[in-house]
Amino acid sequence: MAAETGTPTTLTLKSNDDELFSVAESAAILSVTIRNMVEDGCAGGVIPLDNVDGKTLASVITYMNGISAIPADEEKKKSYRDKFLSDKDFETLADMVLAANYLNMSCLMDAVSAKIAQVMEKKSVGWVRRKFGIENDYTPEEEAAVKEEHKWTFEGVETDDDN
Amino acid sequence: MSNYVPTDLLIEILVKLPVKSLIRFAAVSKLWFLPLKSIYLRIVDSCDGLVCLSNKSFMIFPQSRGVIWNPSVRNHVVLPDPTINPKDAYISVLGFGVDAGRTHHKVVRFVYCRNAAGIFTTRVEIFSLKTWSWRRLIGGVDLTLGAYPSLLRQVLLNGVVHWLIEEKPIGDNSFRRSYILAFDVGDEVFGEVMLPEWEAGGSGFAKLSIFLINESLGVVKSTGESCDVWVMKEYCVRESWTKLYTIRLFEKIENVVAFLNSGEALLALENSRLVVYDSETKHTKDLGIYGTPSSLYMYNYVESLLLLRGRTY
Repeated sequence: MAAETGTPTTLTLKSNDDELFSVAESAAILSVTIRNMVEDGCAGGVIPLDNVDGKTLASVITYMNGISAIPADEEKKKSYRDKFLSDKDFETLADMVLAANYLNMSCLMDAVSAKIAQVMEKKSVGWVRRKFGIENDYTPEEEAAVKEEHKWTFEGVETDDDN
Repeated sequence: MSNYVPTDLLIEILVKLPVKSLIRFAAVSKLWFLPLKSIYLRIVDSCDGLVCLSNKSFMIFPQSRGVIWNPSVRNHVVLPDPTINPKDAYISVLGFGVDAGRTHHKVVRFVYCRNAAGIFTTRVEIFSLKTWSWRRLIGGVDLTLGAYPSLLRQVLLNGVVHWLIEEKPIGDNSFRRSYILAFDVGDEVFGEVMLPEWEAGGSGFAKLSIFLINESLGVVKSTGESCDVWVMKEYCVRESWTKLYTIRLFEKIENVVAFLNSGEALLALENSRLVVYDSETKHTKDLGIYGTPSSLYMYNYVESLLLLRGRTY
């Protein structure tokens, strides 16, 4: 037992575009999906993560390492999460929400969805449609009626710059 | 990866948005309108301890579902999907009542349809809590679209649900026909109750609304400066319409909300104040309750054991 704690176990994760990543088991098990595999003894070789690409997985592993290095201090963890997400663009955040959901990491899921909400807050309806790939299924009359009914919510909306 | 965020994850994001943004994004698509749809729950009416609720399905979602709730026993039932859901449905409105024998509670649903030529038709179906099913009413009622906003307030009296029907004047023609539409919950037939014969000048610029006043059908005619309170002393006898009193205050009366059993009127005044008006002393008493005129309603409520075991009513 003493030997095990002396040499931390390392897991190898594989992204869907075949990139390999080494990560300490203690950090990787922040993902309930990975923890279940470890507990079921399926984590001996390479763990394939079919729904996450290399770029996103690299980001998630940075987060895993960073957050697990912080002792049980919720304030510090929160400020780490804020800083970690502060420079991410919308596309990266969207990828991370999908990854966090697939990996079952509720703390990351919460933080990323809150960040996306913050990015969206002052955006236009058109921006949201483009970024979320949503087809407008209103007729022009219906759309005008919905907008007219909630006119006040269109004050202070940013002009679209697609940032 | 640049996949789009799937719907089930979208909810995680939407619940974190400020209300203002959430409401604005209702214009993104019909799916994004859904969070608002569940917010706009409206009370249809309350009788025998049951409260009938419906979504305020403003134009976009005519297929609104009704809910019957008994707050005392803390149980509610969601009505099954309605059967009239035509493609050209424009708006739907629910009514709720019990027959004169107080044994049979029913929900009545009006669906206004607009065809490609812009012609409106009304279709009606009835839900019975006893048989737990919707039944379509054939050739029940003929209403024009101008009538629908008045359907938002109903008066249940002696097994009959009443709505005020005010047809909108068309163009410069200020003539409009106003009457009270009556639905007998037991027999499932529609009828009309005539309004008072107004003095010269008619009701052209006045706002009408109907109420229950001391167990009789009442109507209030508001001009902004004053409100005339009328009551139909003998049900369905037009000559029995009697003007009880006129409410005139220094402050603007936004709305008459309801009448108490004591005969006093509940009024929504400017600055969102709710007051009780005593017609004898002509004084108002502030209730310390505030709200916009459209947010202040009053319903009678008595406790009952109905729906204690849900559907086995």
